[in-house]
Amino acid sequence: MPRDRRIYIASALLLCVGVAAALIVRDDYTVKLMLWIATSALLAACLRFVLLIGELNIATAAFYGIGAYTAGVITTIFNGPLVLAMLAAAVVAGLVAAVFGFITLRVKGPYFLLISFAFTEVVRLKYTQSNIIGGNSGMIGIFPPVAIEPYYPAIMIAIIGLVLIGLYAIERSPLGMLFKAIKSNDQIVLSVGISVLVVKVICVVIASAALGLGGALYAHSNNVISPGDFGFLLSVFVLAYVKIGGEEHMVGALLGAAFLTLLGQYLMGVGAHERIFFGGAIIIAMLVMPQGLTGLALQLGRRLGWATPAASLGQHK
Amino acid sequence: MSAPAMSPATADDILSARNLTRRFGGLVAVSDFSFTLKRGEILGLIGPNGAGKSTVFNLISGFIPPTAGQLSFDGTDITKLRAPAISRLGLVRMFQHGSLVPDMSVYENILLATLVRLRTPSTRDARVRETAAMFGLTPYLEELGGNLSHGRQRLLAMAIATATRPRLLCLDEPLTGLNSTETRDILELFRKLRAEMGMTVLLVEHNMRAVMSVCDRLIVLHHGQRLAEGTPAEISRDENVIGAYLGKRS
Repeated sequence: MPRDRRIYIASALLLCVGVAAALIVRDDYTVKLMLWIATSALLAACLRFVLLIGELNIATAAFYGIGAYTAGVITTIFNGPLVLAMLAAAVVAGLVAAVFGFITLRVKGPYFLLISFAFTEVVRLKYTQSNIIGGNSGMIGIFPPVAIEPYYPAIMIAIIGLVLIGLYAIERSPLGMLFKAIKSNDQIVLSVGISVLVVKVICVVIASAALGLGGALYAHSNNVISPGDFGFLLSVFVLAYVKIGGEEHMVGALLGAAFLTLLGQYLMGVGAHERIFFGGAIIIAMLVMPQGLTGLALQLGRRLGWATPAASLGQHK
Repeated sequence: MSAPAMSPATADDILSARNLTRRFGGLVAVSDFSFTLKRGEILGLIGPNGAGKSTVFNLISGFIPPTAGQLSFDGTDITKLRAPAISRLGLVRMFQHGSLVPDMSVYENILLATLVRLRTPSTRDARVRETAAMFGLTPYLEELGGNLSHGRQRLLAMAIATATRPRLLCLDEPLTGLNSTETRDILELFRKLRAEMGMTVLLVEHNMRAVMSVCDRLIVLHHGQRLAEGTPAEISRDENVIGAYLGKRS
């Protein structure tokens, strides 16, 4: 599969560039911006990962938060090592997702969406009621070990990059093919002897474990986390990243996250009405490019004769 | 109608259903229906629309649970098993509509069927290519399932089911919308599947000419109950069947 190999090589290069930039760039703001884009891209990729089975996971924010809080508790309250905190964040988020998935994915319909929304809000309220993790004001002082602090942005970008590549590899594997088949026709999957429920739960668990790890990384780069960071609104923004970037291919999640994060930063300067411009930009983007940025890029490429006609994104070969 | 006499289950039976019943609210879709399928036979299940044929299919393949009655497949009680478990035992069905994934290639569609049965990519690949060849789909492996002609979509649906190498293949109206050449080819395939793989076939079909020519035995279902059972020749002479289903003889 030469096209796949090209994509893996390109993403590996992009990853190296990102890591190098995080090491070389001395401007704090630029580094922060890169980290925002990286975490946004991870969130978008994870939300999209569950979209592969046809489910909109509003609890994307919840599992991210579970990871952030788990890691924060381990490093600040128990003084545990960062590596353990990251692993525990992924495991806890994955386990919670397994239980959550087994309950919500049994039936078709909007139940997963609705319960994932409710779950996100319940978890957020739970944080505000728990004094040991700071209640409403959240947790502070979540730092990586002093020895690695200068390299932390580079480490974070490297880990997120590897997770993204891993998610893409799963999407291209037979398991990813099953996700796609379930979205399109779950009866045929049942009829060839595969439990649709188990495959769906696996999908949600993988996405959530990645989100948990991402949350742990975020907590240690932001140093402060609070319940408000992990409300359903975060998932709504992430959905915008996916839709604007283009749902068909995972590159879309990256593009959408980068585009909207940068746009958000630019509009911050506009002042009080930034949200209006932000919303306006989303509407215009959806009208002008229904397939998102990837669709637009593909169209341009075709017009310029770059893309071969068969090289439609997101199509298994 | 009195319950038909039960023939004792023998080792020759691959599937036996006893007093199978399914109610949907007040509607009795299948009522006290018993039948057996012998290893290696092609059994036709026929009956007018709404007779309960598709419900029988859903019951034996585990897509819906029976309200009452027992099912056993090759010596295993499958009454309480769900669809994936029954499929893994070797009882595989094809659906009346949309038995394929339209936005995946023919190759991937057939590959789906091999995922839980074969472990290595190379054995899976071999199975996919072998099955595609059997159904004449080799030239279309890269084509999207949804882009195939109607006839080839039916072939693909059957190829998916066959790629699991089932012991019992249940086909729900596989001939609908096919022209006479395609129909003849598919009937020839049934015979071949049985001869080469020892496959048993349960067929629900409206095309009477095809059913009569390919089936060893027929069961006529009417209002969820057995109306008649016998060889195609016997069935075509049965007065009850003619009255209820085939219409008046001219």
